[in-house]
Amino acid sequence: MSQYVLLLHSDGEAWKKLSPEEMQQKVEKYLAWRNKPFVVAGAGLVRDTGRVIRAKGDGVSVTEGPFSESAEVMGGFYTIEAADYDEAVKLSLDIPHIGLGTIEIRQVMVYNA
Amino acid sequence: MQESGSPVLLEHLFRRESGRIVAWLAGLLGSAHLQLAEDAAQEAMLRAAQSWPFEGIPQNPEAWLFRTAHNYAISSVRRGVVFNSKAEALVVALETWVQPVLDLGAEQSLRDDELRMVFMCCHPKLAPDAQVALSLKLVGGFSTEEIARIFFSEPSTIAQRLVRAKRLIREQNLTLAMPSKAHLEQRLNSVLKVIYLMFSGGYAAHSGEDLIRCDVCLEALRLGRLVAASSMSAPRVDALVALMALQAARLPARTDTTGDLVLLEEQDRKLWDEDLIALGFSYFDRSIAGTRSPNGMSRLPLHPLMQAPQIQRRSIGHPSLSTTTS
Repeated sequence: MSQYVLLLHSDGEAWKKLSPEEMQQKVEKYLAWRNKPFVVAGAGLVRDTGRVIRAKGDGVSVTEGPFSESAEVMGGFYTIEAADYDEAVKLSLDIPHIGLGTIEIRQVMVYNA
Repeated sequence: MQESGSPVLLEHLFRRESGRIVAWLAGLLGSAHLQLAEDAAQEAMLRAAQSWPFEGIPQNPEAWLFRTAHNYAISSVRRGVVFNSKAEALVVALETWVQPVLDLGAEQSLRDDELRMVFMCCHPKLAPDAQVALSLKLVGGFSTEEIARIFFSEPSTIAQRLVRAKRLIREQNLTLAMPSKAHLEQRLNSVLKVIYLMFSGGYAAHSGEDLIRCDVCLEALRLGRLVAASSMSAPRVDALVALMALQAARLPARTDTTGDLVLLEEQDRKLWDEDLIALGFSYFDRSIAGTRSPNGMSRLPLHPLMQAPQIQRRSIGHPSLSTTTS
């Protein structure tokens, strides 16, 4: 078993099109998925601009986001256990996030001693 | 990530709290700032919908939503969303609310806020279709798209209707104050009419039933009960609630598994909602008791109520003996 991190990028405009009732239905589906046994961790990220640190001359520059051109912001992440990428993708398809942003899946590296 | 004892969301919590938050913030800010109240409610729902999937449901979701909307309203006013000298007064008005605890007293005051909002939405200066759309949007927490679906309209048509109505509220300075005694009766009639239009909009029979239509019926019933529980209670309010409850009780039996309509006499009565039937009876009794008092004559036709198969079932005492075709 390997661990995979799912980075959930949210499209704010798509969320705004939902009615309160639809938002609640989404929340319930997310939580049902989050309670599945293969989900080992998860955390939301505060929706602000964050900070970016870069080298600048001899020192560093600290700026506020955005980190990319896209209007999407990273809303949070989950860590899941799966055999391989195929399974990780399959397990992620039940997250009701499709249409509300994108999910980026990355395998967590493990060093074998 | 299993958690034991984690809170569960009440059915329709987001929609209900949207309406309550709008009514409550508009009460604090005044009807000139309806848009800000709506924006704050939407922002609270958005933030919940985007953080609860990760953090889980907070211990007191209602208080979380109210606090978030309140913070958003205060920071918006401070950021200068309100372009006039009244911003400071608005901040003061908002800060009168400090305790994010929804206790019993707060519940009563929220119900009053909702009632005032319903009565404003039914102001005679607003057209009847605007009254219905506004009530569903501001008090019911339905979205423009959902209202359009209920009334088979285009979302742009409903959006326009809402924008015009809100502009009229601003320009004509319609307030959330209850009408004076002289106008109260007339306004109550208008409120009852809007509630009934709302109910029949949701109840209108057609194939391919949409859950949202059932929700509208139950929202109309809820508003009816809100009025019935207030100081404006009257036999005709009770009669309307009884009528809606008895009709709504049949909703689960009205369509078959394929979504096709089922005629009343062919409906499976085991699917009728017993709680709603009992509720309907109790309001029916209340309205009858009230009409016997000197000034309480019901102006709503009780005829359809007398035809309700549930009523017949009770008076006859056996379900199979009831042969109504209504």
